Amino acid sequence: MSESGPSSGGASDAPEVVVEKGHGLSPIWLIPIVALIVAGFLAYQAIQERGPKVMILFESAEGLVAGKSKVKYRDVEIGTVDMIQLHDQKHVEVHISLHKRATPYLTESAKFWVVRPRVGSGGVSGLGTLISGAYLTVQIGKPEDPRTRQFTGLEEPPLSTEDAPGVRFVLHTDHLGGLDTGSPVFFRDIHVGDVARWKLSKDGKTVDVQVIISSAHAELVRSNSRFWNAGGVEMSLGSGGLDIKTESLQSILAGGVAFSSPDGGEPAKAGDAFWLHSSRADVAKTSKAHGGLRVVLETGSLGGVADGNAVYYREVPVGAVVSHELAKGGGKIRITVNIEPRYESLVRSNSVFWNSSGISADLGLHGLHVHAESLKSLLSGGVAFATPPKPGHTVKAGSVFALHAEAKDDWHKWQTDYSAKDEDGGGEKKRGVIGRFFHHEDKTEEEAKQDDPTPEPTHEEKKHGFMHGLFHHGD
Amino acid sequence: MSAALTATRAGLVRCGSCEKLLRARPLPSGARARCTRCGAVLWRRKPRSLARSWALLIAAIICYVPANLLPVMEVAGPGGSEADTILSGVQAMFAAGWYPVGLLIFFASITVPILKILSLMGLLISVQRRSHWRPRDRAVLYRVVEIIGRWSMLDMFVVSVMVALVQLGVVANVEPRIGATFFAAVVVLTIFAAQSFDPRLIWDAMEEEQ
Repeated sequence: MSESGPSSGGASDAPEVVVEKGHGLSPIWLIPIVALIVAGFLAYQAIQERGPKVMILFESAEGLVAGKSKVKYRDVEIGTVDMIQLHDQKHVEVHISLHKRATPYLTESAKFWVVRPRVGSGGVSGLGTLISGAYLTVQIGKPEDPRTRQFTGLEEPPLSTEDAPGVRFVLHTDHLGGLDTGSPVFFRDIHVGDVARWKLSKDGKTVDVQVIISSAHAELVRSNSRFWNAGGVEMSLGSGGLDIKTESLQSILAGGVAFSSPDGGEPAKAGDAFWLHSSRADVAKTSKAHGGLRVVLETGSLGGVADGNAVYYREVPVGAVVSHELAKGGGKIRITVNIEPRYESLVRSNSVFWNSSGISADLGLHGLHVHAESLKSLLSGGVAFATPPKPGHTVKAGSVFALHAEAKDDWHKWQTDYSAKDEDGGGEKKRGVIGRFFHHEDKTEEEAKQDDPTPEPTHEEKKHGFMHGLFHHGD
Repeated sequence: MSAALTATRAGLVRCGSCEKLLRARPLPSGARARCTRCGAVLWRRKPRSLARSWALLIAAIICYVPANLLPVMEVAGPGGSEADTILSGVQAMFAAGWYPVGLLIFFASITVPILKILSLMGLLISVQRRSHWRPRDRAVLYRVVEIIGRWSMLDMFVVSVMVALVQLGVVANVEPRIGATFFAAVVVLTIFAAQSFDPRLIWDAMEEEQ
């Protein structure tokens, strides 16, 4: 428009312009067109992405901020809190807009709750919200349920383990004892599962606890597994000392279940029921099927031995004191001990038992000889036994032995080789372990030592033997 | 306005590049004139001034919408990220009690672009309608619009400085968002629109009267 102008006049000495053909519509109009396309595309995208708006009722909107708080699913942001307002006297409305992809899951089975820092039965969770502020999270609903846009939020996280993969077992117990949904289940202090839920049995006499063991660990549960409540700290102050046991820091805070599986036993099937013992000690006390050999020790005085104390064989714990009672007539005390299955064959008809609590010191011709089974037995007491070099026959459960107040000197030196006699017997596997422990030691050398009264290098040799056993094990 | 001698009246045109004075002559439509000395395209008024200004202005208006609706920057911290539009940023500053900064940003990022767009629209419409209304004031308005243009980039300065400085990894991280692009586009487009506008058009309408 500017090129075409009125006709010229005057100043004719100036040269004339050169005329050139021009173009049509100015390309400048491409700019608004491009802008329109880009903006239009963004607007289209925004409209496309715009998801459903949902209203959730909560008892409290603690920690939620309109316009700021996010809605997350599996820690992925899927929406934002738009508005928070009062609903009635007891509820607040939290309006959220969600990502479009969430639409099919907004069905009646969807559950919303607020994630806040929480020290709960499942451990400490939501620590991140200390910094980020609370956020909403959702357990998506099943797509086949009827859709809805109004939900009632949960005040507590739902049982996240409800649909968790794993194998379920039922535990019956007298007392829930601090267990809750999400409490961990330990096997050898390793977290292998969780408590899914609990309920009172129909007659109200027991509590049924459902646990889920992760599939990878499910086969650890055997038909003869023992479960006990591992919550908190288990402290026993016996005459022998203070004994503190706990599974993990988390179980101190949140309670937990532990189990052990003795050798033998079939893999348990999903849904199998077990008894949940109140404590680890309770397991030892009540588990008849625990396997192992039970023998009775008779003694005049308890001498620091308490239930749960270990039974040592050559300073190796091989069993536990199960219970003690006064014999009929009150003349003696009967202590029941349980020897673990793989050590059963260590007890022979001619074995001798003694009270290993405390220190025994002999001041003899050869100087001072101080003996204690282990630091633990020193603190908490225990029972030890030994078998003479020529072992007698194996004993039956319930056999009675005398519990001596202290060991005779040579009892400590017995290093009986069981393998020689056991060659023909069954149960090779069990004895194999023991055999490996001891087999390297030369018998003649051993016997020679027994004649030698000097309480000399048994220690060294034992260590050696142990190392040897280890290497053998590795083979 | 007095009808003094003007280049147009004298049938002269000045080369914008080498300042040579040339005698004008009627051109066939769609044709262009070139300088005999330097070969630059000649114009008496900026070529297609109104069309260009309109095109750029309309593009700026289109971009203004997403520039304000979309977040210009995102602050990511350990507690998650938060995207701010210009307006929500200003809001946050007011909420934090930073009134001077908030006002400054509000003025530079929201008021100025709007006023600029409105002013240019007014100028363009008035020229097209060959208005005689206060030409001097309109000329002043044009000069103000031209000068003020770059200052509405203030918000972009804020964003770019923040993005450059706040790169503390997990602790805090600032990143620009698409809104900033549109905002920059608004500013640049309005600057070009103002540049394309030929203020002499204001006076042309006055000249024609006589």
